[in-house]
Amino acid sequence: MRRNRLDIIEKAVEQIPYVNIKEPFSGDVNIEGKVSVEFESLSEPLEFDVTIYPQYPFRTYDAETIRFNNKDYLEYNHVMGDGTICIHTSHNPDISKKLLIDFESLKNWIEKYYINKKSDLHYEHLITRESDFKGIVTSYMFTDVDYTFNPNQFGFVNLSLLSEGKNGKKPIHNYLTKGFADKFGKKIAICKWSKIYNQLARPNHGIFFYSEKQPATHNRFAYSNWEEFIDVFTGDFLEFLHQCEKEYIKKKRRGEYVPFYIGYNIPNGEVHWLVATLEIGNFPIEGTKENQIWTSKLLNENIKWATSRNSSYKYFFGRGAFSSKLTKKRILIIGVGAVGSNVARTLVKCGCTKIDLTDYDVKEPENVCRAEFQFASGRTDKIEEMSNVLSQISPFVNIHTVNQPYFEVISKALYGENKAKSELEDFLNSYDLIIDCSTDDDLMFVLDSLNLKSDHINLSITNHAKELVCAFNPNTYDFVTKQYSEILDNNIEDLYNPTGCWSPTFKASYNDISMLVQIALKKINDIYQSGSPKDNFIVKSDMDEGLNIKIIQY
Amino acid sequence: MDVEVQIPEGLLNKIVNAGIKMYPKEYGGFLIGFYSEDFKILHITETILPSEYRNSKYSFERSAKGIKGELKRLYSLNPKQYYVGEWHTHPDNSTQFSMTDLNAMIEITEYKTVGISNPTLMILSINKSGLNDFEFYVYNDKKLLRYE
Amino acid sequence: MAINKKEYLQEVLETHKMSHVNSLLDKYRDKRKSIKEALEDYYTDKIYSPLNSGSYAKHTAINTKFDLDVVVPFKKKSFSTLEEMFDDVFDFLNDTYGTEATVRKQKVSIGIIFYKDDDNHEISIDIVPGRELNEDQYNEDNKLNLYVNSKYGLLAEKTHLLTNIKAQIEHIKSKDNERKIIRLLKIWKSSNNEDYKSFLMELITVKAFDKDNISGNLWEMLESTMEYIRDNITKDGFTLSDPGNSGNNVADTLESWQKENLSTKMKNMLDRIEDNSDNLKIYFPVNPDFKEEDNTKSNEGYGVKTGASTFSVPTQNQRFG
Repeated sequence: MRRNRLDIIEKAVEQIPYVNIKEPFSGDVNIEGKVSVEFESLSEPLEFDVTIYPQYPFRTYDAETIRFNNKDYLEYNHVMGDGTICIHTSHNPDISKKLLIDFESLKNWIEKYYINKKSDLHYEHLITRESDFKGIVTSYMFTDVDYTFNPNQFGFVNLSLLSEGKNGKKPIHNYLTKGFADKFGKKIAICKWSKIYNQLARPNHGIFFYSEKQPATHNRFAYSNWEEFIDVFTGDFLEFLHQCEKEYIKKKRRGEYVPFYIGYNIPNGEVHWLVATLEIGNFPIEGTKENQIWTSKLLNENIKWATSRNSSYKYFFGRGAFSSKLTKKRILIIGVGAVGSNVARTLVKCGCTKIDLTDYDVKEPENVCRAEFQFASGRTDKIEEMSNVLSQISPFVNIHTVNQPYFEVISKALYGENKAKSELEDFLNSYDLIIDCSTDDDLMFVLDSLNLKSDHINLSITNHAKELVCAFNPNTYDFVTKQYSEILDNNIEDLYNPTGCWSPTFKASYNDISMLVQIALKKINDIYQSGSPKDNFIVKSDMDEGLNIKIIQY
Repeated sequence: MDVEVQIPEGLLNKIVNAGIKMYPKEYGGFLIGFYSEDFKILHITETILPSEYRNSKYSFERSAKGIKGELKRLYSLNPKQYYVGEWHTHPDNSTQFSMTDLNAMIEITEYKTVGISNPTLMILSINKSGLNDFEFYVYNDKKLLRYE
Repeated sequence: MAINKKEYLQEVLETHKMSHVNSLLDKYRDKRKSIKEALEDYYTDKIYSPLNSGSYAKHTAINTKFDLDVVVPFKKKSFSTLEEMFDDVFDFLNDTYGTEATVRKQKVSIGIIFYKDDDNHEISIDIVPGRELNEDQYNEDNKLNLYVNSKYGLLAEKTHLLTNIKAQIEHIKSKDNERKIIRLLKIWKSSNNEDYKSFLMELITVKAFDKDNISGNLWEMLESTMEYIRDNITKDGFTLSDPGNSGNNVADTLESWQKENLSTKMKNMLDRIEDNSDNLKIYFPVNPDFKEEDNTKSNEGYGVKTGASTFSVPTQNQRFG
């Protein structure tokens, strides 16, 4: 079997015209060999160590199981720190065919990056070799600040422990970077997280140094030894580092770790931070005496890089979000039941950051199955529950809960009273968008009679979630009431009355409701993105001839 | 009232021309026609011009002298055609009826030989060369309703 | 539940008739009369007699939303510029009515909105000043130059607009079917908060009847008109010439995306009504204030006195004013 696999590999590689085998393939588990690659446009042959893993030709952990390696080519793009050439190839279950494909990819790399010295248009963050600290993995998230760092600036970093978890088999400590302070401890910059994250408990701190240049070799590999920073760190900073360590020791923290942030500008103008862990009592510096003066000097020691992630809004929502024309809006959601909570959660997942909620109701266990609530928090106000759920999703969303009597008492009891009306108008006009998911016809009537400059959308669902009605101001009340009374077949004899006639509700599952809400929100996002007219519509689904979902445009 | 009135263009021109001839004084006449079977539509078919009248820029008074024969002849036609109302001009003025006009219509409706209870009043606003606008009113219960 | 489209639309028109609001209309007329008299007293021989225009004059008014318009034709030598004329009329009206109404400059007119009276009625009258092009020419052809105070379609502010209000009124005179469709489209516009100009809907309806030979019952005529708008408004070179000045293309008052939207709206409306005739109630609601629950009264036609025949002999002598 083994023999056979070696033969197949040997034979397949021999047949590739531009490849010569320099050292024959051998090995029991991993098969290793050395090849040279030579073709017309290449001035001299290039040599690679080849390692083929037992999973080959299958990929594992999302990576190729063949490696082409030569540390001499580190300066070229798409070469890993250990000299492995970074190739991405297609699937093939046949070893011979897969080898052909993989060598073709290697040849492509040579043409593109070795011969033509291409650099990609997109920037790639520095590659660090990460290691744990005494068995604990540490990770640091940061975001944008409204502050410009000066070269060689240094000071303290404020952070909070966000969570502890598992990373592989090791424990991981997740930290949130909250802000930066100067060397005297005075705050200079606050990270742009939502309020709740900036007020996170369990404070901690670290040290930062802002470098004029990327601390990297070949512009790609972060330094791996502290001595490489000799031209980067200033004497002042080394002295500061020394004083910090002395303080930590005084506070009896010897043996613990301190995060050390090293910042630099990347080509698009962003500041990026690499974070290393320093062990108190073992900082990579020593004092030397020159001309009667003590100075600090960097030691020849490997750097323990931790994980650092830019989780700014741009990165956090980089893979997909709603149009900025929608996400930038200040939004009020009235009613966070099955429909409202789904709307709220989707808006937050899609990048909205200014959301206020109002609802008078308390979450009951039976609400959980189709709203975005958790069982774990027990009976609690719906808005309280919802603001927790939403804040846990996004570190950028600021949720305010609005005093409900506004809608239940003031708007109705004082209906027609001019002062109350203009107060309510002023309040509602402070929003860009109001989404009424309350299915409260009386409230809809009141809102419809107001002079609102803000957009106002009314969303409601018929029994069994057959239809979702979406109406925009100023055509809400008449449209919605007529839809229910004249057009739609809203059978309300079959409502769900589990606990008494005071709480009837329509019958539908989470799946039924969220499907309709998602389609409606997709449409609403499109309306804002394209600037098309805000015309009312109905999302209709039926199973008459298989699943049929359509938007009925009014 | 849910009613309609229809007048052929030729007849309208005839009325307008009769009115322009008297400009700048007012002028008018009788409207002849018939109602549809459901009494919803009034078809105006003819006008009878008065043999005697007095007029000025702001008033018009007509007599019904000598028209009975003509009314009889029209009633013998198929379909029967009969007196349905009045028309007069307002030279260089609007088509709005005056109090005199309303009173006239009240008197007409209450008159013993008038069998219809909703006579029509047509007012034409004209200038020296043509028609500015015209308006139909239908009389009902001491009011003149603008035909819409 | 399907409805009879023709009968339903007849009811819609019936409930939107101006005659339902006669007492309010009387107040409008009184105000209009007094404004006209004030203008005539003040400008004396600088003007020709003011002329009623607008939807009421055209028989296309609906009782849910209307105002009365008065055109004031100025003689050529009255003012040296149109701007002076416009400002002078504004100043006069503001001095005269400023304490009982909001007087404001609009696109081509001056709006007078009287403060609400005891019945909570708000009367608004639009005054449109215009000046003849040459001395005595107004008498000949009724043409006037209007002052464009603020951007009006493609027209920039502080320019002028040549038109002929009389010709505009003339344009839909005795076009009874067209007027019904125009009123229905205005009912749609006002109840669905669409801001297309009434004048545009008027012209496109008349054009639809001209081009497409529209006939049939009320619904069939409405449907054909909407199809015409759907199919034609976005066409290149589609024009709606102002009957008061064939050089004005009123279709130009819409940007191309607005034309697209209007066409899409007509398509959606037709599709929805096709799906379910009840959707007519969404687009063309009856005016609930004047909905006749008891049908007997609205079915009443012309009356004949009990026991009498239609053969009537009118009063001997009758005076009209």
